[in-house]
Amino acid sequence: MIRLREIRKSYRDGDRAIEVLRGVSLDVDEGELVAVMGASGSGKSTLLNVIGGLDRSYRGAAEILGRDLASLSERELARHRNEAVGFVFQSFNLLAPLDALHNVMLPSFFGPRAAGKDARDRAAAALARVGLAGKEARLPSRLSGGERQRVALARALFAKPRILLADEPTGSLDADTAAQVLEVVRDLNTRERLTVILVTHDDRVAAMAGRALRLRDGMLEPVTFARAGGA
Amino acid sequence: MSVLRLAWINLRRDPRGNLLSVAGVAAGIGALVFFVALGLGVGDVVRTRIFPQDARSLQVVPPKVQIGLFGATVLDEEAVSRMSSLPGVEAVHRKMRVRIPAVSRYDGSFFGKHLRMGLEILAEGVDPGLVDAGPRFEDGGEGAPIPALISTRLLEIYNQGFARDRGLPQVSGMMLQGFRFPVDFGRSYVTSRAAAGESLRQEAVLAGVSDRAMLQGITIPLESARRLNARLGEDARTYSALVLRASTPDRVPAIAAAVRDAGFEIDDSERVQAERVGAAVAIVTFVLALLALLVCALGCVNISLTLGAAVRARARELGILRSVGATSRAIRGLVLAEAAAIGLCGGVAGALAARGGAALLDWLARTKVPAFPFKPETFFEFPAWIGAGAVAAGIAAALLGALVPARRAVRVDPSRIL
Repeated sequence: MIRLREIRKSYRDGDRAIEVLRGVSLDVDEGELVAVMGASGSGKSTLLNVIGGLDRSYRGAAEILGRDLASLSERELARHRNEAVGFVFQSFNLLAPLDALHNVMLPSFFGPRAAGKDARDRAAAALARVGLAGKEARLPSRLSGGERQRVALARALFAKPRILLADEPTGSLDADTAAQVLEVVRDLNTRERLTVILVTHDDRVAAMAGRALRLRDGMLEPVTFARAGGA
Repeated sequence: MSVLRLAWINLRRDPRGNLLSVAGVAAGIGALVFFVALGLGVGDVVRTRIFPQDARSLQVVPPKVQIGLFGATVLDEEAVSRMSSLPGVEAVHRKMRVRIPAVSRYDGSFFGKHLRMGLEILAEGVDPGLVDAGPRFEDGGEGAPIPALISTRLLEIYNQGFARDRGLPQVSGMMLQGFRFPVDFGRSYVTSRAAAGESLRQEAVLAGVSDRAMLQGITIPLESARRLNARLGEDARTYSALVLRASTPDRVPAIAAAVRDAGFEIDDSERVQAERVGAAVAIVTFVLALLALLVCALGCVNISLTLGAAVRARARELGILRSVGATSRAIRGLVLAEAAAIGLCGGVAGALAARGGAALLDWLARTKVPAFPFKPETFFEFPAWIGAGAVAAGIAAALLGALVPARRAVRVDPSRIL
């Protein structure tokens, strides 16, 4: 499903080059929920951007759903973002002038099929799936933080992607709302075998994942949690 | 469709800035349309009223310098036959000057006013078919009044200049029909040439006005001119000019070449004068249009700045669009669609403003500016293409201004911005 080999990525800071990923390799199977932890600036978001096809300026091999991202054209990569993966960000990243329904159906604006009645129906169903039925016409400014993140989640799931990339999705939410959002994510993972890469600072969130990894010094290392009642 | 919808939503977010952009485009396009329509309108007056031209006609005259060894090259009946047989010539109309001076002295009533005048008169006979003046324009024979036509332009100059200044009535061509005045052939106020010879008093009767009548005199039937020349001992055999009418305008150059080959000349002084005035109008229009284009360029810059600021402010949103699958082309299309909408509105507003400005200027000219010769009802001409052109130019100007912001929008890196 996801196969990364020796991914290297550096940024320039003035004259200095900062290498945030120093040969990251990762294999994720279909239906896995993998948590990626790490300090701020450790490269977690960069890793998601590589998998999601938002960042092409890396070295190494990123093979997603059997396709080497480096070999895709700009149009094919856009289609990859449109159909194969869904993004959820910490700061929701909704379009302020669009209501919840249109924010959710935003991918259809750029997909192979034009936005129409079918897209509206699917967007409404996606909103219902995250518990926001009846709030289709609300603008983001009229929604709570948890509701906004659920709209963002509905948008990420709109095109029925096989991979969900969640970049600290609960970072801006209170504990109860965060638990609700995570419950939706875990439900999608278990019921629909959605592959999830979840970036988080929170050990409790990471402990929910089937596998947890930490990015340190540009490399991934496994994390083991002591589970209550575990062996 | 969806990108257009997004563009529309974006435009509604900054109504003031976008309205300013629309106003910038409208000012440039409005000025452009206004000046182009003014140039077309004034050009039309020049072409149709001041120097009316027939694209199918050309006037043949004898050569100014005769160098033939076997007699002069003259326009006689033989020349008429030769011209008639030229390929593409549909008709040949003859012209013959009355070759002696003439004056008119009038002292009597003139449409309710008393008129006293003494005029040196030039007279030219033409084939009635040339002026198409109807049965009134036929030679009545010896002793009968001579039917005469005056130029439409002469009547305009009289009405809007002379009559106004002298307190005389303004008249129409229809009113003038039947007006009689005496003409003394063989007399002159300015030359002694006629004094020694015979003179002949004839009455002339106005048969109407014509675009093809001579400007500086009266136009009479060819037979009248021939008879007068013969009676007063002048050449009544050769013609002063022939007007050739081509079957189509594109045949004219070939006919002109054949005429020159035959040793005659083409009198295109009126055409040259019309072209000179037309060129002057075109140059002024061009300069004014350039100024308008400068205003359009400023509108472009304004759009570039407004959209550039919008792109900077919406960088995060552009990143979001990228994350849900927008290609570079879609992002570019989004910015250009916003610009096109501004250009469309600016083009339409500019075209309407130009129409409004033209209507205002025409109204001012009608009500505040004294009449003058050839004063038109409107100084403007708005052909159908000018509206479409205005909208297209507005969109083009806006798209030009949006190129840099669109490129900047495409360069937004979602991996850095999100």
